[in-house]
Amino acid sequence: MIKKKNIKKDPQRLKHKVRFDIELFQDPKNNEVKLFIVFIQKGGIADGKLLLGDKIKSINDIAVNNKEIEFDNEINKINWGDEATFEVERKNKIQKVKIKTLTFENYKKTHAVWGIDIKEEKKQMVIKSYGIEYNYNDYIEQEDILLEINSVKINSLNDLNKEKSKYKVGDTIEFKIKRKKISQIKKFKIKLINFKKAIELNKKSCDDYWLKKAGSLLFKEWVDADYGYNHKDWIGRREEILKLETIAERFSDARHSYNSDYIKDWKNKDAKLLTSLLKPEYKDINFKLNFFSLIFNSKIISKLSSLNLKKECCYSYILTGKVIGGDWDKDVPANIKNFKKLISVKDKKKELFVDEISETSLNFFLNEMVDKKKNIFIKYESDKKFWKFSNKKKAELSTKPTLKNFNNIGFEDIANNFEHWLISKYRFNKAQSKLAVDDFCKSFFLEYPDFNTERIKEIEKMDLQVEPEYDEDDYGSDYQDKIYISTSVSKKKVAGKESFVVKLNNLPTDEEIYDRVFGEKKIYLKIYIYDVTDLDENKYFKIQDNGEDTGQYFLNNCHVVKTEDLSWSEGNGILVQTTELKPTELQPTELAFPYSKLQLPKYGKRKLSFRTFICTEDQKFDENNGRFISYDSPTFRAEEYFLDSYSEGFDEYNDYTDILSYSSSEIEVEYKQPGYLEINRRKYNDLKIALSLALNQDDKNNQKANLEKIKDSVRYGDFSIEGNIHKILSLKKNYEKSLNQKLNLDDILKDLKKNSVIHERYEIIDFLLNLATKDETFNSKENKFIDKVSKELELNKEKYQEIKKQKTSSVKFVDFGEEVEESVFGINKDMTKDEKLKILRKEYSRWNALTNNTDKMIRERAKEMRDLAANLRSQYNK
Amino acid sequence: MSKIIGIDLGTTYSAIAQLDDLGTPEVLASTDNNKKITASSVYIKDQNMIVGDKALDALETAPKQVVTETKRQMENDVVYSVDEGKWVDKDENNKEYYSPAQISSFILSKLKGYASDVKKAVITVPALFAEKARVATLDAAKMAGIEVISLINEPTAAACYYASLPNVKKITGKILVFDLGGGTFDVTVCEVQGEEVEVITSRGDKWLGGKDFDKELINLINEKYKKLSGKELDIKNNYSKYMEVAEQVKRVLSVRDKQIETIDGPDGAKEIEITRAEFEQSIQTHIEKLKMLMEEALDGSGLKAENISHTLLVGGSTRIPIITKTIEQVMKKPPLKGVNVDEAVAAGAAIYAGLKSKKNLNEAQKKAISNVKLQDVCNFYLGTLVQEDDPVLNRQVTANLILIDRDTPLPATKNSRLVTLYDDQESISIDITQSEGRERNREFVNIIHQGELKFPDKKPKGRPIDVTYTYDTSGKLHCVFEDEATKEKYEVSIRPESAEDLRKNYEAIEHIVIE
Repeated sequence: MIKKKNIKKDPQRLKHKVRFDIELFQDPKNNEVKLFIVFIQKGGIADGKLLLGDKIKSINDIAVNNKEIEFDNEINKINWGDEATFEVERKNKIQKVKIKTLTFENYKKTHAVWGIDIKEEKKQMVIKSYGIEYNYNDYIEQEDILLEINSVKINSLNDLNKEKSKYKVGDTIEFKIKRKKISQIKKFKIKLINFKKAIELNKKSCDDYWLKKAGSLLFKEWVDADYGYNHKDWIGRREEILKLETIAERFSDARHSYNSDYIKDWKNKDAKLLTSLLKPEYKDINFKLNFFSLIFNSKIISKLSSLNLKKECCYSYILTGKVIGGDWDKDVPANIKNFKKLISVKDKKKELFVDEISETSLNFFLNEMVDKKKNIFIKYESDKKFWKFSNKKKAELSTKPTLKNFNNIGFEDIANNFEHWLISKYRFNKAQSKLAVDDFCKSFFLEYPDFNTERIKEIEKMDLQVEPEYDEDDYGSDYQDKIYISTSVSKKKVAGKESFVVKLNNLPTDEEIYDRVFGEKKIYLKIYIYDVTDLDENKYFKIQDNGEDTGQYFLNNCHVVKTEDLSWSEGNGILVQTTELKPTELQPTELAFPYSKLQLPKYGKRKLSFRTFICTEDQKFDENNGRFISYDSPTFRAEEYFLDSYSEGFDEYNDYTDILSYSSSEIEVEYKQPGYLEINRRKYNDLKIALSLALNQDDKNNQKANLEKIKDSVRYGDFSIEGNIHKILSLKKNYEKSLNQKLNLDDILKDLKKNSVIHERYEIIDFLLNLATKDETFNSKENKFIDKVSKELELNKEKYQEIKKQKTSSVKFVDFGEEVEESVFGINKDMTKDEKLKILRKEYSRWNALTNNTDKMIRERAKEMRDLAANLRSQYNK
Repeated sequence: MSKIIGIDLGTTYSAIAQLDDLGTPEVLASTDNNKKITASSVYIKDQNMIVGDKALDALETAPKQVVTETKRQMENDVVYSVDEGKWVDKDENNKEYYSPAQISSFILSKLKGYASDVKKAVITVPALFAEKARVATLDAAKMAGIEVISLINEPTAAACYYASLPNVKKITGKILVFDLGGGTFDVTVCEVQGEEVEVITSRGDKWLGGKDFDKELINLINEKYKKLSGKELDIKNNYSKYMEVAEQVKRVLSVRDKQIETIDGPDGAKEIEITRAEFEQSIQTHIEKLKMLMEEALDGSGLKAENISHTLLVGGSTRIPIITKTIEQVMKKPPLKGVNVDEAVAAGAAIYAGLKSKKNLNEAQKKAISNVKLQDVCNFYLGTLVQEDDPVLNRQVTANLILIDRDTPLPATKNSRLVTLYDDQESISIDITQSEGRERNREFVNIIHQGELKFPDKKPKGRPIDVTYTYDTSGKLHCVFEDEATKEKYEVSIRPESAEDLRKNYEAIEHIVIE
């Protein structure tokens, strides 16, 4: 029985299918699903009610014998909030179980998401895929073999489901996997998240997906498909969507390149994919048909006819190029002016009236006529404003399409003719017309905006540079020497590190490099990064108009991104990726900048411009701001290039002969530490001194000695006279405070958080540990103090523990008492016994290995630590 | 024809074995007392070196002149000072002193005497014996006039022996060899198929053995003596004596629940009762170590206790009941009994010796061991120190780059390409590392060799250096660091022929008589 509930109380009850959070047995041999329960979500609505192994006999008193029809049918009748009765066979007995479905929101909280797809293959559990949003890529690869979950061996799907049924949201899962090729065993842990969190991660992952439109559509459709309720259908659709941008680009590219990638020649699966990605109103257009079939498609007629801002409508214009007597360079012949609607088509034998036949029949008729090179006759209705006869007057037009145009391919002709129209009637340059027709082509696709007259107006106003045409036969052309690279930048994980990845397209060919290298100069690819957030074009031009110093404007508002890593820097700490391009050597297609290498000038949301140069070894860049320098044309305002991307029209007057090509791409980033312009290093140093004096503030007898230790430690760094004076003053001020016990740790830490970047915080921990262990001892007070500093400065716990272990590996622990295990081995009270035992085993193993060390002192220390770990473990094991 | 033998050079006892004419390993008995194990003790009596049980007898009368547990010192830069009666740091002021390799050479010489015409041998060492200790073992053999054709890990030798037993079919599958001797403990997981032995992983603690249990017993006895008399035993000056008592008590407690022992101390002789439970409690920390190492070995092999078909016992200390109980607790089944735990290692070494020198065997011997095959693994992670980016610290840090993984089947060769960090870098420093865990931190690895590769010219940063590590079946590591541009290389074999100035040692023992 289903108890009806007030629908209003849960608006989502009908929107989302009810989920009992169970899984049924699927026979791996034939994928047939049987009504045996093999998985029950712990903490889910069925937990404790249904049991693993239950065979479902009926739902709400209606017998169910199969999954696809009867079971699904009954489940579909149930809404969130209802109570459902399952009749199950359990241990040869029939039982009835009532389950209250609660709400979809409850499901979102209790459903644990593992984010990993594992299949049984040849008696092994093979990882087939995993969600990129769950950060598994640090640990696993596809085709890894799952060995254990939380130390339980997993040999079959059954084992896996059984094990999965034990865990609820929030539980920690340790995977043990084997890398197939190298037989390497790996372990890693994850915390099970709930479905709600998974939705958030999925959203973020889709937002970050480099194919933005596909990402956005993916998430939208996933939500619309009730979060992929029908898994199989959703996976298929997902694959389609992921190809959205690739297909859309290919669709719009086909017309430009004439590289024989004609849509009519596309493989059926690609054409099918194309159809699936079109907006609903265009789904019935068969783009594989020829030009004549497509140009008379009502959707295309309507789309093109609406673009009639100037003179004749676009549609009539396109048709003009295809009919006898029609000529683009002249006005559109009167007989096809302002085409409105097709009435009929006929060959010598029959006439088909469009209103009486389906569009498909019409399309096939036209297609056949054209392919057989037959004459066709069309009747159409025209616009009254231009048609000299009456509005309803039927006009007749005779065409011999195949005689007129030799390259009568298909949609490509429409696009090309449309481009011609824009050039001819709107006086668009090539770049503008290319952009417009690209947009037009893509407007057929989901997620892309409609193409309309407003967009044409927008493009008309754009100051787009003309792309020089490259003619392969014209060796004497000026364009021969030009290399047109293009770049894009995205965020990705590279070798486990979050990075910006610059994708490089159209890099010079071997021949192009060889031409330039031979007997002359080396060629380099260089990428600089600028923070362009504060640049304002209007302000710049105002300064220019006023005759003021634009150079200063750039110095103040456009800063190069720096790095502290010498191996990544040139000049004065400027972050640069430099690669020599050599003929015959493989060229890079992507270059990565790990986040950790970047030092941005300012904190917060910043816009970064990645500027890529292909230049000779003679091109110089400024050592302080990284800008390219021109010795020949000192009057040329190179700064202007930092206002915008000049990928196509860069240096058209050859002022920079050593820069062979240039491109820039922008990306936004949230920088969560103070920028290098904001860091007050002296404040930081002062706080560091204060903190180190606070470390032993209570130890009155040794304060003088401690001061000496600190003096010794802060000797390095800033050697300027001014810097030294600051140090002395800081030491004096803070020492006096420490004598009076007035150094407040909380205040210092609060200030430090504001005035230090992450690596400086680790530097402080390093500094404090060095200070604390300088006398070869480490006491409990020092330990607590440094633990607190680490916690307050929000350092990574594991990293901190590892640094502490390194620093204290050979010193004596003093006054630790019973807390020794926590301090020495990083064990804390919140850990379970198993976790403690595991840590101690690892520590025992680590120190046991060091009993082999060649240094006697380390050997002795190792024995001591090894025994300590073993002793503690034996106590825990009592 | 000279014979090739197998020698188990143990901390407390040693043994020597050879293949008999039918190819069966035979442990040779001492010419002194007909026992098959010989105490690894040396009594330094003027120019005479008395080795074995007789040396133990001298503990009472001349404790300073009796050297025991030498194996534990093999990796150390120490010498045994007869004046001080203990191992001391090397010092030119020492009047009469012997290196660990020299003392071991006396033991090897003694063992060599049990067989006739011995020139070559396979000697066993603990699986996790330090490189320096392995070298010292080779030196000891050389001084004793024995050419070592290979060192073999003790548990591997034991597994080899078990696999060669006629009823071997019973133990086919994944087995765990539990080798607890007087001074060292090794645990090895291997796969036995017929007579083929494939080592999967080894773990060990070379400071864990019966002697450590004896020390705990002495502490226990001392506590009890103090409770009775209010005075503590003078353990420091009577160490050997009390160790002998402790060993005696330990042996009794292996078969009885309690033992009453008369202990002589500063307050006269006292009768002290020690129960097995008390003894077991006193060695709990050591038991925990055994458990951890068994767990580590299982983890390292990717197996669970249920997957191990048998646990094989090796070493005298496995006779202690708590040991078998612990094994049963961890492995969830009792260990396999029935083979002489003292002799398995030497016998296995003899078989391995046969495999290594088949041309010296008669037809029957060849046939007997023809199916025995052995696949050993690397017992450490071997790597080199490199500079790498630490994204958190935002600077370069020194890190350990592992080239050869632990448990890689031998022989193994691995390559890696490194690059220079700076323009015009003149050289790179080379640090070859060894670790038991997959350590990244330099603080937790052992540097087993240091060197420098100088470049003849200057080049920008990023100059490629090809690194190749080759580890052979006898555990010898060969490392090559080669500059790709100039082919300049730094090459080193880490198991040099000798670590010590052997000539000096030869002179020192030239006139020594081994008894």
